[in-house]
Amino acid sequence: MTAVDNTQTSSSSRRTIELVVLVGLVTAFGIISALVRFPLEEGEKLRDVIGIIIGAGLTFIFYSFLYRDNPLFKIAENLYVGVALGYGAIITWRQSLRPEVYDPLFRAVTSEAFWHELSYRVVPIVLGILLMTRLSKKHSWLSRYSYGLMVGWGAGMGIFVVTDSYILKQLEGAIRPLQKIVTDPDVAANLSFFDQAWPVVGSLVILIGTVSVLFYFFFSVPHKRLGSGFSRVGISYLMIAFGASFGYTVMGRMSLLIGRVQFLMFEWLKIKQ
Amino acid sequence: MWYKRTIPLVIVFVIGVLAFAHNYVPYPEADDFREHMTKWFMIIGGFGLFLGAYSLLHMHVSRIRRMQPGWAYSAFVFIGAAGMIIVGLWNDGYGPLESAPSTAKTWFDWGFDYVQIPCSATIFSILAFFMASAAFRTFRARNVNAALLLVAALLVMFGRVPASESVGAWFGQQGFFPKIADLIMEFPNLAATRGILLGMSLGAISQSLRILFGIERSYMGVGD
Amino acid sequence: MTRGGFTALHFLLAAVLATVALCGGCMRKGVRLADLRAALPDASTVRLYDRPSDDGSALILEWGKVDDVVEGVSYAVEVAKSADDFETRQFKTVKVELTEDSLKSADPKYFGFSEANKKFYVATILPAKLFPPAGAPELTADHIKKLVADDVLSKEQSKLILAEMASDTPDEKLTDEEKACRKWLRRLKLYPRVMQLADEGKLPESKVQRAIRAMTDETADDALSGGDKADRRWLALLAAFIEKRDTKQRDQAAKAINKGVYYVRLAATDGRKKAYVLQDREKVVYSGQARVDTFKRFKLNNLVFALAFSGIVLAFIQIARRNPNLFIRRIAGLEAVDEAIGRATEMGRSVYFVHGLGSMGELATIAAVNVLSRVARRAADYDTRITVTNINPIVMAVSQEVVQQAYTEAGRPDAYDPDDVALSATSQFSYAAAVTGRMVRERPAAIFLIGSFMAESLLLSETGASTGAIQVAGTDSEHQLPFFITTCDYTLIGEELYAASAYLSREPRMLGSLRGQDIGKAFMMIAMVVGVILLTIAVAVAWFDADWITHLVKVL
Repeated sequence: MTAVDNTQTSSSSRRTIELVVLVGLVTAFGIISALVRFPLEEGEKLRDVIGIIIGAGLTFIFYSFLYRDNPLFKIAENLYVGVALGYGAIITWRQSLRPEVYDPLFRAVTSEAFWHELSYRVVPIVLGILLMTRLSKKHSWLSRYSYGLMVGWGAGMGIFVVTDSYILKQLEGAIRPLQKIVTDPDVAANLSFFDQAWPVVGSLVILIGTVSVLFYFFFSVPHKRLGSGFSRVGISYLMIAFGASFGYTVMGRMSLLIGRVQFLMFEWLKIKQ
Repeated sequence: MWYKRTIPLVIVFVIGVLAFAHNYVPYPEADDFREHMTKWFMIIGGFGLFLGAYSLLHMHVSRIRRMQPGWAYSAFVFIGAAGMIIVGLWNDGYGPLESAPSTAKTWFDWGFDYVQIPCSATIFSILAFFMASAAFRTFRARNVNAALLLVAALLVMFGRVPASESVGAWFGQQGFFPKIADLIMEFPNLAATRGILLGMSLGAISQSLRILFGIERSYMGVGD
Repeated sequence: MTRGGFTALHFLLAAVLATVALCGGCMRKGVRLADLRAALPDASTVRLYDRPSDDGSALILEWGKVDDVVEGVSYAVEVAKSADDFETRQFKTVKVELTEDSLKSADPKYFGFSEANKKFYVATILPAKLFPPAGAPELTADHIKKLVADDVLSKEQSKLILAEMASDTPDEKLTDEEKACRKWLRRLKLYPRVMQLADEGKLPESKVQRAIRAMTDETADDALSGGDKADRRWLALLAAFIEKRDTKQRDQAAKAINKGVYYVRLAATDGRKKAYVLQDREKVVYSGQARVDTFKRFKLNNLVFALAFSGIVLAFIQIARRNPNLFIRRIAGLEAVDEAIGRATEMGRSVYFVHGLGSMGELATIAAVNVLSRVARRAADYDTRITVTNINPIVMAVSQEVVQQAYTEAGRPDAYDPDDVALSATSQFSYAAAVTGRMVRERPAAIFLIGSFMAESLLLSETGASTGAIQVAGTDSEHQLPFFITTCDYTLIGEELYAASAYLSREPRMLGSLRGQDIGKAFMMIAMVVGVILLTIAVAVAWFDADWITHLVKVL
């Protein structure tokens, strides 16, 4: 019992400390922003400065999630979801519904234009409305007509696209001679044994890797004995590839972080570069 | 019931076959068909956004109504969405505060630049921390596969930073580490990616066929 | 020597030099007629035919390559609408340089990989490009005069516009005022088109007046207000309509032009003189007609592969129907589904199903929805709450249908709550923020991350891992696989994702399709190994040519 009480008191006292720290950080942020950004400099607009301060505040709040969930993060998260939703709605209206539905039909310039535009759009508009039947429990099956169209399209197109860009392109890359012929006799004479052997080794590495990874995906062959060894080679290839791809991304992600730090330094705190 | 099940499956089949076949036909009508379908999906997607927005807001209304823990935070979704939609529609994005439209930034742009951009850029950059913790997670796994992954990751990462050249210079091979990184990307990585893609292609074709022929219909909510 | 003599000598020298230079220039510039004739192909090798595998927009003239052609010679293909047009010089010329790019072998898409293609030159004749359809009527000074006469434009305005019409200063060099004027001119250019519509009776008088009012108003966009602004917007809609109508009419006219019979003759030229292909001392005129073809032959390899693999899969589906006991190996990630849901049930916590960013037309999303149906059914059976997070509204609609059905089939339709399958957010990173926030607060016992993901993958899976949930990920996005591998308990890689629904269903026909995939894979493995061996031998010993193997899988 005492142990439980102890943890409760310790967690509640920790919460108090965290709250105090949080309030302190927010106050500090406010004071620093006010000191650095006000009074406004020549050519600065009030709303832009407020915008930058809000942006900097949101940056700190999202990083605070790395420590743990907190009230400010919850506010920022919900606000962000809302803003993104509003932005998406306006953009959809401006780029899709207004030019494709509202303008051609409700603001048609002539009757010819109206009928012409309607003939192209009547099907997707009906399907779009059918999609809305999801809001009713009884008629929601009607939305199947709309998404059936998309699934069918995706499946049919998929066969073609996959054959082109995965099967043919990859086979084209895979099927090539282990050693390219060197036509220039002068170059050929200067090649050391290592220079000649190296491309062959590389091509073999790729061929073995591709075949063993493909083997790893076999579903109807038990991975036992020889098969087990071969699929293990495949797994090793996969792991090295995943590692390589992981390592390859690290620098890109670091530069994003640096970008945020630069925003805070140069735009919020106005430290001169 | 044929109109609940059969017609949707027929739609899937017919559109699927057309989507597949039109790629092999040079008729100009085939290109028109593809363009039309793209436009159709855009329009249906536009309606879809209404549905999505309704669903998102409904979820938050329910949270508030049921007074679920943290329900008050849901109010900020409405504040954000309403703010953006109002400034987006009002005066074409210039908002109530600008008397006449000018070439200056609209309030809608303001919301995008100072709320949405900092938020997405910050969340994106959190990945830098998460990559470290993910790597550590793998390190703790302590098996052969994890070791292979980590070693490859370290070699490629190190080969791509400028410091690797000075380290290489210590033992007289300046380009050693970049070369190793290139070799890993060029050989095992290429081989594995190719294997994954080739396997995936068959999986994709097989799934598409199951869908076109109505063998797989669980996406319709119709069990087997 | 006198001073005068000295000058005369100079003069003589200069004249001699000039003559030599001139002659040299002539020799360099001109090619002797005999050499031009020598560059002409044998008339029997010249053919005019419809370009294969196309939409009927091109004719091809082909002729045999002549060796040892003198430098400076190129070919001129003259195209006319009738044979008589050559007499009246009403023909268009397509120039063909003697380069590798002009050889028939340079375009395997239409002509294939035949070795013989290297011995022919081809010229592509695009009738609609050579004889373009009549354009829309242009704005002329007469139109402006008429507008002034009608009192809609003032004299000063007309001067401004006429000056702008004559100006050819590039946009970036204009002052703001001139830019505004150019914009205004762009509006005025609609005038002849509007009048044409009015003449055709397609636009009532009141709308014509409105259009003229809007286009003659020189006020800049951002200084407009009220009714004028509405008129300006309406004019933009009218312009869009006119543009669409024009494009459509132009396309139709182009099609009609492409359908015509065309007459072609071939000449070798040095830029000035021409030597024509002759037969019985007459210039030969070839005639031909383009037509719309029925099949893209260059996509034949795609069709064969697609149909072959489809055939294998369908055959195995049939076989499995008759012989349902197929062996399918264990897939750990999928065996874990039951374990994960079971654990959630024991702990009394929920199961999360996190969709990727893909739209409903993407194969990975379709696979994800299929997996969802299996997962939801099991969760409903165990009476465990399942939460589906979505970013795409249509994927959400499908997921709702699927989950609702799962609850209905489990006999508890009332347990389905659409708020559990709601849209979480509408953009990539707000989705990541919303879902990770929820994960941290609700601490689900099991998380499924399935579909096509982008950079948010690691944000979701790392947060999920930190909450201690069992995680099963599946994606075809090969760049995100490393992140799932490092943070999730089980990861379905590429093909395993597509196989997941079939595997979980345990239905013989579905499993049969997996067997079919294996046969396809075996075929590819053999094809790769055999192909590499054949090509290597071909390169090493050079006894036979094996390039046809690469041509078989070439994407054109």
